[in-house]
Amino acid sequence: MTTGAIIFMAISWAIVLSLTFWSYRKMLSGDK
Amino acid sequence: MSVSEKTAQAQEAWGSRIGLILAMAGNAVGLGNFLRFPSQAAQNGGGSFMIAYFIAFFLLGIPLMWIEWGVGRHAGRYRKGHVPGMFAALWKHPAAKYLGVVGMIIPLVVLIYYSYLASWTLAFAVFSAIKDYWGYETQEAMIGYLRSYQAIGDSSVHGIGKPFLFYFITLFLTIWVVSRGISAGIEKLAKIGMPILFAFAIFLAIAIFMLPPGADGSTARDGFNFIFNPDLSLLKSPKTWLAAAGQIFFTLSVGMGTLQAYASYLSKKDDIVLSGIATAATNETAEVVLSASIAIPAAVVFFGTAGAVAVAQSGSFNLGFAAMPVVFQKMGTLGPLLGVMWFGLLFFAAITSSVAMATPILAFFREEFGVQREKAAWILGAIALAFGLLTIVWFEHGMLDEWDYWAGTFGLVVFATIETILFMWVFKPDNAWESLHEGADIRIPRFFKFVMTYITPLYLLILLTWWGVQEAWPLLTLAPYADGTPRYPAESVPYVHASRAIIVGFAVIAVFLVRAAWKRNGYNDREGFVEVGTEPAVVSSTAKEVV
Repeated sequence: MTTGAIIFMAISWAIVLSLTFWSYRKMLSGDK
Repeated sequence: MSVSEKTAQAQEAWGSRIGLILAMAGNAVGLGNFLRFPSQAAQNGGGSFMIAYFIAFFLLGIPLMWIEWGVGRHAGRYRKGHVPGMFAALWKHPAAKYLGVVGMIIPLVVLIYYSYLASWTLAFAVFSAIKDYWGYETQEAMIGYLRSYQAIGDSSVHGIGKPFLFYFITLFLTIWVVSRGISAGIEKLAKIGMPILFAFAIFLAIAIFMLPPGADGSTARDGFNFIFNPDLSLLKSPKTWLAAAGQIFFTLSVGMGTLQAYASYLSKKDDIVLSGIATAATNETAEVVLSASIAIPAAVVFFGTAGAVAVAQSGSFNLGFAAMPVVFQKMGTLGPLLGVMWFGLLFFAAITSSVAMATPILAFFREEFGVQREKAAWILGAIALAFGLLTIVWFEHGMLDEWDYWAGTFGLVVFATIETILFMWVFKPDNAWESLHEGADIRIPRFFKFVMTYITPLYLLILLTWWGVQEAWPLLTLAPYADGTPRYPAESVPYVHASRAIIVGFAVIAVFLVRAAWKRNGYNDREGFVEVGTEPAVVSSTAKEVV
């Protein structure tokens, strides 16, 4: 893999997974 | 309708929040996530595509998600789960309900042909389990195997009955689920289907990642390279930005009337802001993480980088239904199991979307004409079956392509543009903002109010104009391609016109039905609907059904 591909894949996955974990954690904890 | 039936209908609701999110995500996650995304990313600049993709996600996808949840939940106050009612709830004008007809035609047409596509996945899951395509070891051979299934006149591999049988089973399952209602049908399907989908996808991704290098030394990691390696020069091309915006549009299932229909079963005490983000994020995980880890990496290992380029460029269906079966045949004893998992996850992705498409149509007949849920569902099933059979028979004459373009592609942008203007401009930004935040678990950053009022409609108008000029008009007029090739063979042109005429026919019937519904229930366009729970004690004879 090229460095560019690693960077873009890491950023893409980080955005998506962090948004998913954050939203589910927020829902399950019932934080307002 | 008895009082108890009216009460049951009025009280239909989601059983749990996680069930709602899974159903919404099931609606959004479809064939496009696993088949369309990897080839779009690979063809449009890899990492550069992802830049345009995420910008579209935040400026178009998430705002539209909130708008659709907001439109649906707002209409739910008046017990309106169908788009003509939703638009009339936003705009007290006689034209509003007729604009909403777009939101009845799109889910109906898409339901009909999408169930046919879903039936392919069911058929190929069975074919994988019984190793029916084992022996078709090249892509060309598998394309022949697929074509024989699609073309009714070609019985070289498959008998004529198979496509009809699998279509009937798929449609029956879809209608059976919706006939059981929101909580006992759709929510239960999502709670079973979505975990299976994710489990199958994770298993496949791990199995493909652990594959040894292929004949030319390519590994699954080279597949990621193929999807994510940036070609920054393509950022200057409008095509990259439009392809990314289009993918965001399709993947989130916006512009269909389905997210709104699901949201109409929520009350103003329910959160829609955080739930909307969770739905979009679940969809993106399925797409950017899981989908990117399956088809293209597998194709790169077994066909090499050059072969994978050819596969990606030959279209999404060849990738899913021709290249992947070749891959499974080369994976030894695990092959049939992985084949069942691949087509099984596609089937669950498709059927959780199909049931969503039936929901707004059912809501119209139940709410406006008092038809029982089960009865309405099976009548809809019969209509879908009749036109679905036509879709199968006329497949080779371009009927599915026509319906997919006019209802499932261009129609979505038209619908989303109308609803965004109605919600953010006619209903007014302050009202929309306040409505979205009723019962909200979190506040939306204020910046998004500006985005939803100006940027999202502008994005949509640009998409609409570009596609209108570049694709819709040439297709409508059947103009030949730039190289002089005709769009359809001459013998298919009458079928193309007939396919379009059926959509127009649906629209005309829908206009009359909407008009009849408003007359029957005594709705006053200028006064709007009566909010549920605030109705007068004595119900007038004309407004006798559930409001």
